[in-house]
Order: sequence, then structure tokens, then C-alpha cells
Amino acid sequence: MDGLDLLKQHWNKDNNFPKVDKEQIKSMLYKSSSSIVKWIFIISVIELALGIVWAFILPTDERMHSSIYNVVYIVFSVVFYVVIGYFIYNFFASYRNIKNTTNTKILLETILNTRKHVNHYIQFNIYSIIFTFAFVTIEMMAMDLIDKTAGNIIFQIIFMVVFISLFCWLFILLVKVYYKILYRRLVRKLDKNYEELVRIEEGS
Amino acid sequence: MINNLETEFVDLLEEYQNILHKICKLYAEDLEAHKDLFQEMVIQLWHSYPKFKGESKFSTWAYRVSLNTAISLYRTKKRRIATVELDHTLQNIRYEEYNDEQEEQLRFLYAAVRQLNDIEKALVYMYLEDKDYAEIAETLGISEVNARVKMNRIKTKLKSMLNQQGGI
Repeated sequence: MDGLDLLKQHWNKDNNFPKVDKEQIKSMLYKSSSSIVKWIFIISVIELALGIVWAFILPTDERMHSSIYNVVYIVFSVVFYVVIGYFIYNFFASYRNIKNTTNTKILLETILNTRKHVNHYIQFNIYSIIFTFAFVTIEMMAMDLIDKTAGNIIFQIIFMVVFISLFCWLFILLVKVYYKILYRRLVRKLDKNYEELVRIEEGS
Repeated sequence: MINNLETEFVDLLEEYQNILHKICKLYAEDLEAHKDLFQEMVIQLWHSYPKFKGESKFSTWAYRVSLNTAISLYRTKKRRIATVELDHTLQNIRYEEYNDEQEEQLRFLYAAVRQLNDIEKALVYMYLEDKDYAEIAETLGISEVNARVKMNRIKTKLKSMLNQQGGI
């Protein structure tokens, strides 16, 4: 008889758990859930809101702009809000599909997919911030370079490239640190369990 | 209407609460975790209960939702959440104290099972509950063949864990 069969013998007889009475069950029904999904939802909504807020809190640029700037600004704004709307819709649609009555693999997939929409949204926001920053900086410098000598122009271009690269690197580093601390801890268990199910299906 | 539903649910859960206790026994490391997980399972079951249409037996539905809670939804906590006071009722669930020889063997077995990962524990739970492989596969979302292969691997793994511990 192997270990599990011995355990099975005991398991079937082991029904003497002390009873949790009806009153205790009743008081549990309205306790707040502390599930991973609830935390994913709260954090995601905060991140979605922050993504929209940053667009409003950036200082308005009152300078005179080139006509190219004005066109790019309008196109970018339209694309930005359309894409953000698409991500938010996907997030809520995916969240509503999370059902604890489906099979475990589908449940894990749906939760991870919901979070994936927020990740893409954040990536899109990062690229938007970098693009906005680089575009505004380049435009400001281009306006400034008129009437400058060749030496000055080369110096300013090098300065600009170093400055933008440094900004991007720092920004991406900060986001990565944030993700390591928060996101990885939040979905580590889900990732691990999902990967285990995939491994079983692959027969490895 | 809600009160009727609540009474119906509480009656059923009181009757079938051992399903939850047994899953907790495999997934929870101690009494505190048992209480946390038990409460989270009750909350999850209650949230889904209005959609339970009786297509399967309550016990089948309850163990699936409870297993999903243990595998996917329950967050192991460092700081404990406020749970309904159950100490006086749950204090008899033994996590560590086993006395005679057979109980010592069972202690080894439970300790070994608790070292398995969440998916393996789910397979063990369903095996112990005598579920057939078609049901195990459907519950986890894997194929029947792979469920069978994995179960055999778990048996081998447990055997070697027990040999290492000098158990059975």
C-alpha cells in the first residue's frame, strides 16, 4: 500500500471536524473578501486613473509652435484617448469574465489576461510619456537652433540625445522597480499555478 | 428573497462544510490560515451562489469553487485579516500533534502533501475524494491522460519524500 492509499483510508474516516454553526457562517457572508482578484482590480483601477490624470496635470505649453507640432499634437491626442478607451474597455470586459465556477485553467487565464490589459495600458502610457517628452524637447531645440553656428548645433544635438536617453532610462528603471515590488508579488502565485497547468498539458 | 437565499445557502453550507475543512487541511499551514481560507471560501461561494442553478450537486459545485479559491484567489497573508471567531470550534483540528505510530505516519503524509504545489494538492484532494480522472481533468482544465500521468508522478514524488523523511 503506498502512502496516498494509507492517507485515503484515513481521509474517508476523517469527518470529525468541529462544526461551524449557522450564525458563524452568516456573519462570514458579509465579510470583505481579500482575494487576489479584488486587489488586482483595486490596483488596476488606480493605475488606469493615473494614466488619464497625467495627461491633465502636465503643464500647458503656451509657446508658439511650428505647424508640424500642431498637427502631431492633434493626431497624438486623438490616438492617445482612443487607445486608452480601448484598454479600459478591454480591462472591464475581461474583469467581468472572471468566474470562480469555471475550470481552474480558464479562471487563471482570465485573471492573468485582465492584468495583461493593464500592463499593456501602462506600457502604452510609458511610450506616450517618452514620445511627448522627446517630441517637445526636440521641437524646443529646433526652434532654438535657428541662427546658431554649426558647432553649437552639434553640441546641442549631442546634449539633447544624452538628456532624452537619460530621462528614458531613469523612467523605465523606476517603472521596472515598481513592477518588481508590487506586480510580481501580486500575481506570482497565479503565474506559478498557471505555468504548472501548462507544464502538465505539455507532459513535462 | 435575499433572506430566503441566505437561509438556503447557510443551511447547505452548514451541512457540507467538511468539504471546505478538508481543502483547508491540505492548503492551510496552521489554524490561522485555515480560518482565513475557510472564510474566503465561504465569501466566494456566497458571491456565486445566486448563479448556482443546481445543474450539478451542491457538493460538487462547492468543492470546485473552494478549490479555485485555494488555487487562484486566496492570498497567503503575512498579517492576518479579521476573521469570524472560530477558535473554540476549530481548535480540535490537529495540524501538528499526532501521538501513536499510525498517527505519526499520517503526520509524515500530511506534511509531505503540504509541501506539494497548489495544483498537485488539488489533484491529491480529488484523488482522496475518489473523483474519477474525467472529473479531475475537467475541474482543472487539463486532459484526462495528463491528469492520470501527473497523479502517478505525484505518488512517486510523495513516496520519495517519505523515504527521505524516514517515514513509511
